[in-house]
Amino acid sequence: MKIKFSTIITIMKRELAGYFASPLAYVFIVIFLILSGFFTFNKWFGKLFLNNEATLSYSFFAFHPWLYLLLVPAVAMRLWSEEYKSGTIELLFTMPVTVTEAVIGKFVAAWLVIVASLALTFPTVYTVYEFGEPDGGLIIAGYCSSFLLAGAFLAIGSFTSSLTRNQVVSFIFSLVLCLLLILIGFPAITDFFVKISWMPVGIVDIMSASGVFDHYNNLKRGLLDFRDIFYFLSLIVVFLTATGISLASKRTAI
Amino acid sequence: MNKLTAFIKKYVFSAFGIFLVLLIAILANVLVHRCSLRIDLTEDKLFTLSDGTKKILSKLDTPVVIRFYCSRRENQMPVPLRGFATRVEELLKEYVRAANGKLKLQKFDPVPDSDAEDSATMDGIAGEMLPTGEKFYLGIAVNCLDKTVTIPTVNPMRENTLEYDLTRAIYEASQAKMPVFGIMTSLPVMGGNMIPFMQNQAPKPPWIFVQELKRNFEVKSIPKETESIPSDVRVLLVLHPQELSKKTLYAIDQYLLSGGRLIIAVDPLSIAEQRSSMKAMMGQQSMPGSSSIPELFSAWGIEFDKDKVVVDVDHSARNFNNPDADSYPAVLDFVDIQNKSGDTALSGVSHLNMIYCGAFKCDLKEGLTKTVLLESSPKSQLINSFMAQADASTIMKSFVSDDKAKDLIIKISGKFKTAFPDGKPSDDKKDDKKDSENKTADNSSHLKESSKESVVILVSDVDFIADEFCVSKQKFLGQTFVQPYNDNLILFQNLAEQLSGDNDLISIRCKKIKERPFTKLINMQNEAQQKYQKKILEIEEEKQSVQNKLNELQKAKSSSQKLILSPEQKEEIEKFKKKLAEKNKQLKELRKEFRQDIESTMLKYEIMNIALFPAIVVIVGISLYMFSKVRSRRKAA
Repeated sequence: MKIKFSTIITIMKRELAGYFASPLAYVFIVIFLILSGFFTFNKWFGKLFLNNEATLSYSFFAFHPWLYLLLVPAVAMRLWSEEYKSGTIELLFTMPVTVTEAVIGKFVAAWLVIVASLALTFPTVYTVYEFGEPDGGLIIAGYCSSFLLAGAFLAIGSFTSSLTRNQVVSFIFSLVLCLLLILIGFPAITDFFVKISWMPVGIVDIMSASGVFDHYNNLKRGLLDFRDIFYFLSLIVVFLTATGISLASKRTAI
Repeated sequence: MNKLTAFIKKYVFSAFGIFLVLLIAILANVLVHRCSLRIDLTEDKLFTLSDGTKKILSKLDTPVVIRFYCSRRENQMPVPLRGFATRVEELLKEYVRAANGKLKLQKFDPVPDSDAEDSATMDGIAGEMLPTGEKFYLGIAVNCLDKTVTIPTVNPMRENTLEYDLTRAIYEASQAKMPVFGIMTSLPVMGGNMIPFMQNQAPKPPWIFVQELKRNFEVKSIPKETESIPSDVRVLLVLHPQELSKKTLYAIDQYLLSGGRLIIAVDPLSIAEQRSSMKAMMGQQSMPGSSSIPELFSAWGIEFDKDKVVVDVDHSARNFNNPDADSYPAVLDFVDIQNKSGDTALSGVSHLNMIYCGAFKCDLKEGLTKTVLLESSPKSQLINSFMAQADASTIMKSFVSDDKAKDLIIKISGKFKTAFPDGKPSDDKKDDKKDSENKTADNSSHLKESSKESVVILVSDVDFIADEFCVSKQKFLGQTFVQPYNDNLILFQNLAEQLSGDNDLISIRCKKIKERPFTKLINMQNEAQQKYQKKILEIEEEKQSVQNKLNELQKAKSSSQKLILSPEQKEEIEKFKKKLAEKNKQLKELRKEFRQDIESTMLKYEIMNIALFPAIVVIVGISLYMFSKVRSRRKAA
């Protein structure tokens, strides 16, 4: 499996251009910024000023998983579905590009769109520094965890996108998968499974440890634990590999 | 057939491939689970061991074994506690790592009828009963040679003091002897009989706080008249000191300066004394007494008026059985206490009662710092103690809040200077001549100031650890059941343990999330407050004079006239009522104005966050679009 970085970068550039040529990327960034800002300050949700505490962990970062749940599938859906629909996928693979390079390149491009929107949230950080003395390490940790979470959801989206030529189907499917990943860690669900007596402990433990929130919250709390980072990275690797497999199988379709 | 096999090949194999990858990932994660490599990014270092713990661990000279009992079976460990249990175990592993071999960790899963369960029982760890009927264990036993200290159930509510609890347990277990806790008081805290000729009666038991102390201290009674405090006394409690002799005061002073730890409880009105005095024993009426140590207090920069009791309208105690009855404004009830100072003494303390307590005024001498453990609300006042036991309406009639929070329980730490700069004081009865000789001889051992950091805890109430004010005792089937109804005893026990430890132990603060308020908002509020303060005061004064006039008029009506007002009087009253309403409106508007300044700033920032950047992105997007359109048009052309 030869991987050439220059190819990856070319693909990435092409994809980025595609993103910014259409309104999609702008719409995503704008909606993400507005919603995250709204939730942060709103008195029902983030209550940043009302809490009178110079921390972003509860008011800002806590909402990212839900924002990503809705918006990341939208960014990811066009990764492969559009190529199928417009037929350019054939063209893509006639070029000296391996599946791996293509998958990674497109994924990184989408990830960069998210990074851009995260970067544009710096007014919130500026606000919190203006008004108080926040814990800088915590903010960095928060951004790391948000970045990794977005990557994981993107990988899922990339996979579902490679399964179908219909972007809407991809969107819905990846939303459902991401939601499943979130819910699987919720105490209510794990309790339910614990009650099923023939279910071995190990499986339930694995299930609850697969939930996104546990790892996200751990990282968000400021503790860069290798295991949580590994969790997100393994999610990305699994789903990008799955993307590759699904693409490859479609290529050999008869 | 070909198409079918091709179909199978395509979908099944790829699906299988995906499933395989997933499985590998899960396995990898499970394996990685064993590795706990972490970086603590927080500024407060919430996840690393504090220096105090590391120092105590390095001072261990005998190996210590930690037995960690944790139910791992799914039906025995509630799911929400799993994360917490894992964190506890990880913390213990950090301890082992930091102790460099002197600490061993043994893990047990107390499944019913197992050896592990027997071990748990022997260590005194009982396990909690779950609603399913199963028992679940999450306890720690620290053992060093023949001494075992247990934390029977690790409480998730006390997670942020977990490190302190653990380090303290290790410290206690590794100490060969129980430290000595000295008590100097004329109150019968140690139990026994006060009156010798009543010895046919069963002796009274020691006060509950003493019984609790005896569990990890050797409690010694220190006489009120003493030349010096024994050097093995780790902590000295001076409870309700009344007119101590200079000799004794000097002893206490020198004890403090040589590194001793003091807890001094004084009181302007002690019910406990009243009920336990000799007179009361003989069935006579007795007056509650007061106590203070002005000589020592003034040397530290503390003032305590022993004739004044704190009245606090925000914390008046109520009779639960009769909620409509008047409250007791001088009996203070603190609920939902927030640990602002982060001091470990307040861990597990959320409800305190102070019964007719005084207040400390602090203007500390150099080198001393004060930590406030308990203070009254600003809506409080110091009243004369003889008024304090009057009924609520009498007290409230003359109540004027002085808008200052009063220090009720404080911790003074640092390097103290002696209260006896001239050396050991002479006895009043001795010869002067003899004294000057004695003085020169004794001054050689006289300490002028602390060689190391000392701590003094000052409590403005003595009754707070009297049995009747912290526990309720019920006799049932010959046994006395003690039920605490506040956290007074917990606070006292925390203080005793905290003070008896090394400086290292005391320095491990409650690892709370450091208060990070929006200081700019608070500053803005303060500035605005000052700006408008003058105006507000003016209007308030005007309002007050109008109010007074109104009251006069209304009084005048009731004294001179029978029942009917003259029309002029009515008019006057109406006029003043209108004026009052006007003043109130002015005040309201002024306050609104000053809030608006702050709110407009907040709004500015909110808009910047929510709307500014999205707007920029939209503009950039549109302009790029226009630009590309222009370019393509040009190309076409």
